[in-house]
Amino acid sequence: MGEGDEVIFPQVIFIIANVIIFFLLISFVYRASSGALVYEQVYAKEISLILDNAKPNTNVSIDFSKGFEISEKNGWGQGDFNKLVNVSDSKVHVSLAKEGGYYSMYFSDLLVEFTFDKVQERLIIKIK
Amino acid sequence: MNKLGGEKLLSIWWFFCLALVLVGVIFGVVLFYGGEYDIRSQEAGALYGNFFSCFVKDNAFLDSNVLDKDFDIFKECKINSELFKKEGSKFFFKVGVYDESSVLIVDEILMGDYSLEKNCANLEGIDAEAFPKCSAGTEFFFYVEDNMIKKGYLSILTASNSRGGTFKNGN
Repeated sequence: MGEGDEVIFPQVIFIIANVIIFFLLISFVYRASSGALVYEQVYAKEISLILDNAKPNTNVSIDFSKGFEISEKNGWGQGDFNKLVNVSDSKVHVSLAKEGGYYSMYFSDLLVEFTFDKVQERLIIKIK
Repeated sequence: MNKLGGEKLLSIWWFFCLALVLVGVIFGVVLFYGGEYDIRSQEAGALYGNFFSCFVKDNAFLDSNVLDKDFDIFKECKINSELFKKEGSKFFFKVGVYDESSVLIVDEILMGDYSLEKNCANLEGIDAEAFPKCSAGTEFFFYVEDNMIKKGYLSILTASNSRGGTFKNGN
């Protein structure tokens, strides 16, 4: 090995190691910020606030593109979208992964029905 | 000399420092995204608005049903009574209907976890994490008595200490 190789070789390894580590770090931050945990909570709380403020006979449509995207990535609820969002015992349950999900309470006593528009990527909340 | 420099760069200390940075960033990210979105203020506000729009109807007149002895606040205001009646309730409300001289027109209605009311009173200027978020105020209305239009006011206090949580899907 020449003297030049001895100088370059450790530096190349060093640069590659750093690039790999920082790539892993950035991908971790990205995954954490766009993962199911964050969106499950956001959707659950958004829907419970909508229900708390809603008047009877109202339809509310919200953007659910991230919900569809994450659940599809996790292979969850594709045959039955009602697994993604449902209500029971005054709680809004949102589950975007098969492991579980997040719930948020609401105090409204109105009847609620969810329909999913996959094409428009929207969740339609019918309040009766 | 150069070889020594290369060894220095790849030394265990460099990776130790890198590991420290990684742990710091991961800790920060988990702390930030693992935290909860606090909507208790909005819930208390929604409950407040719900009572106001339920008690005071068209043209700022008090709903005549309120003066009935059989007035059921949960039924009229479309609120789930179970959440307020059960033990360990995360909500509280107190609604008083007064005439202009601050005399109660109907009995004060209060329900939920009574300790939240005390906590609301203690919250003046304090931002305590475990304490509830409250919404309080007075709203004026008109009502008819003895064929005369009179003025009164509603005193509403609502509190929410409801936090969400995670659940596991049943297989």
